[in-house]
Amino acid sequence: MGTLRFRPGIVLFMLPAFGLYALFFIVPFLRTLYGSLFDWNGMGDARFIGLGNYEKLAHDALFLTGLGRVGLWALLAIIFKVGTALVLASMLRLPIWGERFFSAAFFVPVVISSAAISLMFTLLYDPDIGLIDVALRGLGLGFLAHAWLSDENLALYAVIAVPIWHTIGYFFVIILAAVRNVPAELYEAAQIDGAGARTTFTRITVPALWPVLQVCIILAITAAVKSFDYVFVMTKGGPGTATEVPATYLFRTIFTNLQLGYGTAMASTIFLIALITTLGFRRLTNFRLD
Amino acid sequence: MTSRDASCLDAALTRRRLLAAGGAGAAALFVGRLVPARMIPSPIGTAWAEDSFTPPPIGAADAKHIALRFATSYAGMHPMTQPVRAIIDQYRKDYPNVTIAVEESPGDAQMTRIKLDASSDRLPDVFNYWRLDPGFGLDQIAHAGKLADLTAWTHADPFFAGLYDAYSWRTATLDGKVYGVPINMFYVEFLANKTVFDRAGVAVPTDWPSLLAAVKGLKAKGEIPWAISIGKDSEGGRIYNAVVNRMVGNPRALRMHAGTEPINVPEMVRAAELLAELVVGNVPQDAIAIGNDSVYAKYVNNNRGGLIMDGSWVTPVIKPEIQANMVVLSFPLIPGGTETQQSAERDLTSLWYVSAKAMADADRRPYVQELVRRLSSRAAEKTYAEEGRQPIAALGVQVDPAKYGRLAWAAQTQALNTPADKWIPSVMTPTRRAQFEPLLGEFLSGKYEPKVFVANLGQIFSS
Repeated sequence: MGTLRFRPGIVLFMLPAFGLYALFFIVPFLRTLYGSLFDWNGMGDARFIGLGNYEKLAHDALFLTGLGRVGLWALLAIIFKVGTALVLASMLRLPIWGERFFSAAFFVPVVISSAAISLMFTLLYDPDIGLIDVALRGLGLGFLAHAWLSDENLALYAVIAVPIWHTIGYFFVIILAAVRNVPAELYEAAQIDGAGARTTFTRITVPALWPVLQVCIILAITAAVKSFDYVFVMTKGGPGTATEVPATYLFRTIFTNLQLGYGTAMASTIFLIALITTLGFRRLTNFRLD
Repeated sequence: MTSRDASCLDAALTRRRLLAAGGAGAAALFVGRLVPARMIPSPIGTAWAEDSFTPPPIGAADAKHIALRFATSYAGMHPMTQPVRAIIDQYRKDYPNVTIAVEESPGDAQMTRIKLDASSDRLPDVFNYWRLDPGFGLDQIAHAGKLADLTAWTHADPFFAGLYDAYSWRTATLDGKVYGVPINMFYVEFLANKTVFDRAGVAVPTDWPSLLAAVKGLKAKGEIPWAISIGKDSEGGRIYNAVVNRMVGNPRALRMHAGTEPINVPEMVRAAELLAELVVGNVPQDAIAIGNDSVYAKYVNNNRGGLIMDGSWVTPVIKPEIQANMVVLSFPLIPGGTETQQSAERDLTSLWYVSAKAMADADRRPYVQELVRRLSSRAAEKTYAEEGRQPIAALGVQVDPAKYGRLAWAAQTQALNTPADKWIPSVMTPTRRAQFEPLLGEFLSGKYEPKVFVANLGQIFSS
């Protein structure tokens, strides 16, 4: 089998796509990096301060705490979002009764906008009329009823639970497609060797799906780092600053405080962290599970 | 010289004359574009030479097409939406050559969009916005030269003569330049729901000790004493302002929150202690998570809270049947506090602003000016008061109290008859305000002891 030969003429066909990519990604990205070196309110004269914004950011407790929160968010997303999707997909690997219904049911939330889902959960979490507390009281578990979004110790978890629930279906579809491509012979061989369900899952399913799981984990991490909409709609970073994450802090810094230089430094740092985390994860987990 | 030479010379001269004339014309045009030739000196700043301040002729469909952008926070269910839309609709009928793109951003979203528009140098031609106080960020937009200086126009156009009092004009002024045309005011209303008080068998408070007793009495009877939110930019802040003003006086409170006087002082600790006694534990359990609107839907309009303290714009949100059994109170003086006379927090709230680009455009300027005149006329202000039930800034407007509403009228009468306290966050920079509001919310939810809270205030306002 021969290799594909590079033909210079192809570059011409790539130029429009590259032009659009440069216009909408590379140029704004470079401008963001450049802007982060200035003290600027978006209007008037900008004052060059070098790495001053980054230095300030390194001591900004709210930003650093926010980074810790997205770290927790990413961890919980990997465990519950990717984990649940993997379990559900594994359960539906072989045709079962109601398979189509379950597949659709798991995926339906994904097609609803995050703003609508957030509003829905704001109501679900309401201590007076919210379904969660009403159900708890109805079940005689009223002592567990809570003002979920008002308690600074619980609010972050209450918020994180929403995107996890919301996007499980997305990961489920990806993993289901992969799990159905695992050769049936592997499972048959395992069965002949007397492997149980757990051994089959850990020794066959997970290693076979590892490249797909890697992608899902990276998507879960980047989604956590970028998280904005759920927090903004449900708590706006409150109570106090208990659910403030870098993206909401960035929004407030730029659009409320008009600190564009500082805000762009924040954006560049978030990008850098997402990039390093992703590459680091790829490097650390780029092994074959046999 | 031959006749050919002469004709050539004539031709050359003619060309030269034409070139010279053309050059002069171009130079004049160029200089004209640089503005000074089109401006005449005026005792107050500068005025546009061709402005006669007469409105453009009505119904001139064949007039030059003008496109205007009008950005407003009066959208959706806001009581000002309909009165403002009616004015815009009439303007469209009168000026068929003008296209007005109405861009609505309800509530605080208007703040974000105007800042964003200013950053991208596409400020709407006319828009409503808050005061020029640092807390709202418009001062930075004005300093960047993106906001029209209306000084000459508002001083020279007879339309504005006697329309507003000196305080309103001062509030519309920054660095000696008038940037805004006032729309409405706000004052803080302190209301008691007698239905709740009667249900609990608690007397409506008249002074500080009876206010504390009433709060405790309501709580003891299972009622929610304060139907308020304590999140960011919430009613909790109104109570904070009232207690701090009573304790240290409004001028000193403003200096403290502007960072020009120490805030971590014993009087502030005492104010924080009183505030905690009054509010902490006496609000709805989700008070820190819900917005101001939700408070009205969940608590006020369901007779589930005894006391309310909020800006005057909220009265229309309270159901008439609930209003019927509400009374207006005076926030009591605090024994030992600096304020020894009743005062009310009130100020100008919203103003119309014009972008510098729109004002500099000779074609659009007369239409912009006419639009602002219509939006701020006494007839318009009357509809804002009677239909929008807003406390208006214009003088000489006869408002029908029956249309304004009993409760709102009583609250306004009381507020206008007491000295005004300025809203404390108006002197905070946006950055400090962004730090202050979550801190206050946490304090009112019981997270901090008063001393710790005031120490934290010290960190915010001394940095």
